[in-house]
Amino acid sequence: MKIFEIAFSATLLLFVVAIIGAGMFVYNYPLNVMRFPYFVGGFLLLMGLWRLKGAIQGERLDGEREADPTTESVGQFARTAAWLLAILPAVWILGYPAGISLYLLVYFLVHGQGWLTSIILSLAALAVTYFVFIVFLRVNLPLWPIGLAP
Amino acid sequence: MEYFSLLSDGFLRVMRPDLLLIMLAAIPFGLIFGLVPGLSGLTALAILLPFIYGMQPLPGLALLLSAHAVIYTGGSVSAIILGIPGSPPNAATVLDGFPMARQGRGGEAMGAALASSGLGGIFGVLVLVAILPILEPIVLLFGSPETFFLALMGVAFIAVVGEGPMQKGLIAGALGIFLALFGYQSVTGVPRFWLGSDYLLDGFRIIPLALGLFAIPELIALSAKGRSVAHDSDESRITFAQVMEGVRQVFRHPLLFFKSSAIGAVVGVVPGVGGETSPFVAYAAAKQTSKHPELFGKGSIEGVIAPESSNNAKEGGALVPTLAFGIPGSTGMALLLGGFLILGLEPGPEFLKEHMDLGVGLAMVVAISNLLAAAVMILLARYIAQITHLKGHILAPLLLAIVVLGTFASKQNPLDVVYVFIFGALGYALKELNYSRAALILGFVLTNAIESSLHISLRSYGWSFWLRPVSLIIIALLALGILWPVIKRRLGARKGGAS
Amino acid sequence: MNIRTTFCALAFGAAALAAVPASAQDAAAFYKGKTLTFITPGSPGGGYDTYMRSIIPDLEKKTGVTVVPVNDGGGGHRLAVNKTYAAKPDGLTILLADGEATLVGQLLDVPGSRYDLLKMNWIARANGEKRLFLFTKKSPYKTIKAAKDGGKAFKVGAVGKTDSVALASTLAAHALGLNIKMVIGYKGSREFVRAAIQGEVDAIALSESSSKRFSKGGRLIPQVTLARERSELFPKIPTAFEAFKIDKEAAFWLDFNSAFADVGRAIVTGPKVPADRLAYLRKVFGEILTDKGFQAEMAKKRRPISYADHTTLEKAVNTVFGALDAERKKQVRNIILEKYY
Repeated sequence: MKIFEIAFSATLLLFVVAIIGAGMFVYNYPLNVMRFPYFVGGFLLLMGLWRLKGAIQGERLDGEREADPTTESVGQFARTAAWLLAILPAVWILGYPAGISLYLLVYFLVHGQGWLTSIILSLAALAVTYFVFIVFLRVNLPLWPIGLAP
Repeated sequence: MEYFSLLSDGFLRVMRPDLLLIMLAAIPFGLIFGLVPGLSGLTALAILLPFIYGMQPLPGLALLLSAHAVIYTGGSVSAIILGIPGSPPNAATVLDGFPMARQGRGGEAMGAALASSGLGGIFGVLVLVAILPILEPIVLLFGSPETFFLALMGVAFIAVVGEGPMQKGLIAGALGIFLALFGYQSVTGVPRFWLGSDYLLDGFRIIPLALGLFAIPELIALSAKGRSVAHDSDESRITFAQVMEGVRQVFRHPLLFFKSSAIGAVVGVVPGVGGETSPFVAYAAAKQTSKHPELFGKGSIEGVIAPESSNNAKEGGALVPTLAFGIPGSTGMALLLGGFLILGLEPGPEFLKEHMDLGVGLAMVVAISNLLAAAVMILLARYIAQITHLKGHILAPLLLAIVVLGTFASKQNPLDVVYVFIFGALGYALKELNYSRAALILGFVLTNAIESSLHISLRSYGWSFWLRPVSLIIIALLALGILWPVIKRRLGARKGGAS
Repeated sequence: MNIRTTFCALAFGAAALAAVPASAQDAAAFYKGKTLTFITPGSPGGGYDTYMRSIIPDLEKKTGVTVVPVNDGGGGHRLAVNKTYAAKPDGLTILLADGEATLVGQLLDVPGSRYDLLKMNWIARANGEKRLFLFTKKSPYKTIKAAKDGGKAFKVGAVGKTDSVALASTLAAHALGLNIKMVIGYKGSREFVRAAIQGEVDAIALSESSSKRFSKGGRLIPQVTLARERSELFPKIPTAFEAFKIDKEAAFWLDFNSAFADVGRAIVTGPKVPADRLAYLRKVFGEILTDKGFQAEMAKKRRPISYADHTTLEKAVNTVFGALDAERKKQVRNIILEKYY
C-alpha cells in the first residue's frame, strides 16, 4: 500500500506539472487564462507534496480507514482489469450488439457458468441492446463489425 | 390560510384521471432512467420532450416533471445495491448506502432512501408553494457572489467532512476542480489544455467521469473475487419487514430529515449550484451533528437519510428560479424550460402573476410523483435488493455492458466509453487509497460555477463582493459547519468543568 | 434562318425545357425515402432544438425523407459545423447553424473551427433578429446618450467573449464610442437578465423578441436598435443611426455587426452539393418557413421566424469576410476579444 500511495502522489504531481507546463510553455496561454489553473494547480502541488512526504514517511492520517485491498495480488488485479477491458476491442471490432453478446458469452463460460445460463444471458443482452438502446432510445450504436458496414 | 387554500386548489387541480395516468406512465420511465447507471435523467427528458407537442400546458409539463422528479429516487437504488450512483447527485448515498448493502442491510437502506426521497420531495414542494408569491425577491437575494460561496461551500464541506482523511479529501476536491479546467471556458473564451483533440474542446464529461470513478472499482471488486455484493452478510433473504424498518428509521430521525430537506430546498434555489451540492452538504452537515459521526462511511442510516431527503427536496427548490425567472435551477430544469416554451408558456417575472394556478399545479405534480414513486419502489425494493445476492461473475459483466451502453448513449461518442476506463483507473486508485471520490465529483461539477461566479463578482463588485449580507451568512454557515465539532467539544468541556 | 437551324434551335429549346423540370424532379426523387441528418448545436429543449424539431414534420412530409435529428453543441457550437463541412457532398446532411458563433469562429481562427463558410451552401434563414441595447433601472446612466457623454464605464453582461450578445455589445460600443466593461460568464440570456435586474450589470444587448419579453414591467429600458431600420416590435425606439451622428467608420462597424445578425439561425449544408439538390432544398425550406400557419405556431412557442433566402445569407457572409484586410482583422480581434475586458 505504501508503494501505491507514493506512486499515486508522484503521478498526481507529475500530471499537474505537465498540464500547467503545457499551458505556460506549449500553448503560451495569457495570465487571465491561467490564473485559475495556477491557483488550483498550486494548491494541488502543495497538498500533493505534503502527501508524498507523508507517504514516504509512512504517516497514518486521522480518519484513515484500515487498508482493505480489493484484489489479493497485482496478478489478480491485472487479470481482472484485462477481462473488463476486453469489452472495448469486442465492441470496436464486432460492433456493439454482437460484441457485447459474444463478450458476455465468453466471460460467463470462462468464469464457470453453464452453457445454458451463458447463452440465455447473452441473448437477453442482445435483446436489450437492440430493443432498448437501438430501437427505443435511437442510439446510433455502431452495429456492424469493422469493414462490414453496408 | 391562503397557503392551505393554494395547496388544496393545486391538489384538486391535479386529481384528474388524465393527469394521474400521465404521471403513472412517466414515473416508471424516470425511475428506470435514474436506476440504470449511464442512462441520465436528461436523456429521459429529451426522449419525452417531442411527445408534449400539441398537449395542453399542465398535462405536457406533468409528463416531463413527473419523470424528472423521480430520477434521483431511482438513482438511490443503484447507489445502494451496486455502489454506482444512478446520477451524480446520488454519489453521496453510496457513502453509507453501499456499505449497508454489503452488510446485508440493503433492504433497510433502500426503505430509508425511498421514504426520505418521497417525503423530501414533498417538503421541497411545501417550501416552494409557501414562497410562490414572493419567488422573485427570494431569487434576487442570490447573485454571483452567493453562487460562488455556495459552490465553494459544497466542495470545502465534503472535502473536509466527507469520507476519508481531510488532507485526502482536499486533494480529491482540488483534483476534481483541476480536471474541470480542461476545455472551453466562457470567461476567457479559450479552450484550455485541449491538446488538439476535438473531444477535449469541451473538457472531460461528467457521465464517463462519474461511472469511471464509481462503477469500475465496484466491477473490479465483483469480478476479482466473484462474490456477491452482500457477501459480508449471513442474511440470505431480504424481506419486506427490513424495507419497512428502513422507512420507519426516517420517522425516528425527524430533525435530521427536516434539516437535510431544508438544505436541499434552500440550496436548490440557487441556479447552477443546487443540483449536485445539496446532497453532499446535507451529508456533511448530518455527519457533523450526529451523535455517532464515526459510523458515517461504514453503513450509518443517517448517511442515507440526509442526502436522499435533500436530493428530492432540492427539485422543489430548483423550480423556484425556473418559474420566477426562467433560469433553470438544475440541468433537468433547463430541459423543462424548453418544454414550457414549446407549450407556449414563458416562465419569468410575469409568469406567476398570470399562471399562479399552473405553478401550484406543477408543485403538486412533483409532490404526488414523489409519493407514488416512493410507494412503488418500496413495494419492489426487496425484489430489487436481491441483486445484492447475485454472484459477482454474473453481475459484473452484465453491469459492465450496461455501463458501456449507457455511456455511449449519453453523447453518442465512442471516446466516452474509453474515458470510463481511464477514469476507472483513477477511481480504483482513489478507492484503494481512501480518497474521497465524492469530493472529486463535486469539485468537477462546481468548477464552472466557482470560476464564472468569482470572475463576475470581481468584475461587478470588486474585491469587497464578499461583504454582501447573504454572502456573509453563507461564509458564517460554512465556518460553523467545518468548526462545529471543535465548538461542540469546547462547549462540552465547559459544561463538564462547570458541573 | 434555315430549316435546319430552326429545327436545332427548337430541339435544343425542347431539351432545355425538359431538362429543367427533370432536374428538379431528379432532386425530389432523390430525396424520397432517403435519410437526412439534421444537425443542430443546441441541446434538447433549447431554441435551436425547438426550431429543428418544429421544421422536421413538414420537411418529411414535403420531401419524403426520414430525418435523423442530431444535437451536437460541442466546441462552442462549432463541431457541428465541422461535421457538416466534412460530410459527404450529397445534400443529406444539413445544419441549423448558430450563425454568429460560426462566423466568429472562422473570423478569429478559434481553436476547433475547421470549415470555410464561404464554401458552404446556405439554404435559408429560420430566424435573425436585430439587437437592441437595454439599460437597467439601476444603471448609473438613464439614457445611452448620457452614457456616451458621461465617460464612466458601465457594465454590460454576456455569456462569453464570442457569443452573439458580447459581439453586438463590443462592436456597438466601439462604433458609438461607449465606455463599457464587459462582464461575462453568465450561462444564458435569462441569467444576465436576472443580473441586470439585481444591478450586477447595467446594460445588455438582446434580440428583439427577448427585449420585448424582458422589458415588460419596465425593469429593462430599450435605448437604441443596433441596425439601420427600426425594429417592428419597438417602432418608437430609434436606431443607432438616428440617435447618434454616425460617421463612415462608425457606420462600418454597425453594418458589420448587423451582418452577423443577418445570418442568425440559418440552415446550411456542406460544399459541392449538386446544384439541383441545393435548389430543391432551398425551395422546400422557403415554403416551410414562409407558411403563415407555421410562423404563427412558432410565434406561440416564442421562437419567431424571420425568413431570408440564401442570397441574403451569402451577402452577409461576404460582408463579414470580404470587409476585412489584415489591419481590419487585427482591429476586429482587439474589439471583440480585448478592448472591453
